Amino acid sequence: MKINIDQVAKIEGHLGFMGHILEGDVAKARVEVHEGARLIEGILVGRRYDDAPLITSRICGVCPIVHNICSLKSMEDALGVEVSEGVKILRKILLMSQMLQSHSLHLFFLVLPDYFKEDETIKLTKEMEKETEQALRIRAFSDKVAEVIGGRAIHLTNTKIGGFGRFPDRKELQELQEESRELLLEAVTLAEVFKDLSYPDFSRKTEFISITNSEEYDFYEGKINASDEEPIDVNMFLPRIKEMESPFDVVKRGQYKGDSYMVGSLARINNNKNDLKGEAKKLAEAFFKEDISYNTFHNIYAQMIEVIYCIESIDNLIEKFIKGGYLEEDIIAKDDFTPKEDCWGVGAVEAPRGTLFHIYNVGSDGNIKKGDVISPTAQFLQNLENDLKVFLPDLKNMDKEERERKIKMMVRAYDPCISCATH
Amino acid sequence: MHDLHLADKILKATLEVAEKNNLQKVDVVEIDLGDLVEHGERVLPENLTVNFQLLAKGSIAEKAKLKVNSIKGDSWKLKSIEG
Repeated sequence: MKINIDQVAKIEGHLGFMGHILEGDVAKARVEVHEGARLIEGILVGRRYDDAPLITSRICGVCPIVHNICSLKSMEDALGVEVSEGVKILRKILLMSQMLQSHSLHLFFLVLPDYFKEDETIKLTKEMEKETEQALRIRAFSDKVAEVIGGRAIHLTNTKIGGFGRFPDRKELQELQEESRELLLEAVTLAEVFKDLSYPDFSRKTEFISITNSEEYDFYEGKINASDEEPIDVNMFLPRIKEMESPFDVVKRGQYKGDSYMVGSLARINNNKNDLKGEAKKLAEAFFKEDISYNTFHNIYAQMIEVIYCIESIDNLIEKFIKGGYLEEDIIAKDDFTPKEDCWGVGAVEAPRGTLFHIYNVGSDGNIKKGDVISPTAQFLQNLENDLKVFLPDLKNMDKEERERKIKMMVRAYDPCISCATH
Repeated sequence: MHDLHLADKILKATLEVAEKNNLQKVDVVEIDLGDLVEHGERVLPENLTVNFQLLAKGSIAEKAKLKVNSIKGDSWKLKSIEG
């Protein structure tokens, strides 16, 4: 029997997502993302525990490093593995290289065309040749950092549970320091462009959630910070996003105490800007005059500030690593961490788009029984939806083209990653 | 990666239609496929077929042949199923 189906033509992935939103159907866009394939978690089941960082890295080609490192942290939590201060420093540098990779791509090649009303990025790169080169140099530098420490620019090979495969080359590290100092000056010039963008006037009170480390502006470790109470541990926080029967019954909606929340650069700047240092601190103080910015579009400038902060911090962290005098035994990972009994662990890091969580259950044979990944996009989609509800009436009297451009700008400010959210 | 996501949607739609029509087995799935580009990657019929077969394992569409008609534009559509 042949059945003809009169299905309406559908557009796939990010374009489809944007299409639903432009039609005013944000809920449909959200549902589609949350009903995504989610295959990675299935692939993990039955694999050895140390496959998880390699497999989950493949969730996203833009942010493989954060998935890799978040996975390492969660596995180490499950297996009871402690890493040295030296390992932490190197991982912090890797996370910063990831911020640079993703932010420089997003800011320059995705955001700017909207603000200059230029549909084709390529045309813009010709009009802004100097800035294009600066953005590309930041990107190239971040790739190099990942290569020197992580073994490759994407899908790292040198990061292991418990440490690293090989010790990073001291001379190469020092070269990175030199390069970062030159780059910092250029990045500060580039920040001027983003400072002066005409960000739409928008404000909606919402909750900002991020990792907060009491000692520094950090992407690697700390407690989870929400505005209404003292920062709490990651494993205490997860059940609050949504009432969960088990640690694995996880957010598909992104609510904190019944309401939507925002994660990402703006959340981090709002929560932690006092911990910034150097040039980044100066820029943040000059731009973010109020305690908290409720303008979603400021996420863009918050990213730019993080770019500056990361370039400066990579220099400082390499200095700290070299001065720390770490030995091979502090850095090189051991081979076997097979657990004695069934165990589970959680871990969180700050990814470019916000707090990322990995959760694993490992059996006594060392094989993964269950894995779950909660991406920033899955968490902030509802907040985007709520922002759009407030933003859309403001756009009512605009012509269609201008209206669509404004909507796209708001979506772009969040920069949803459909690959990550639908893994 | 994007092929996998699309294959998943095609399979889900196929199984839904099959169930509504009480099909015990699906032999052919026919789709229209436009020029879908995601993050610079074009969805190709070959990849889509491999992914569809991977996902269909163990379902009533396990042995189904995926027939892909190339069309203009950037959309896709489930046209018909046979079984």
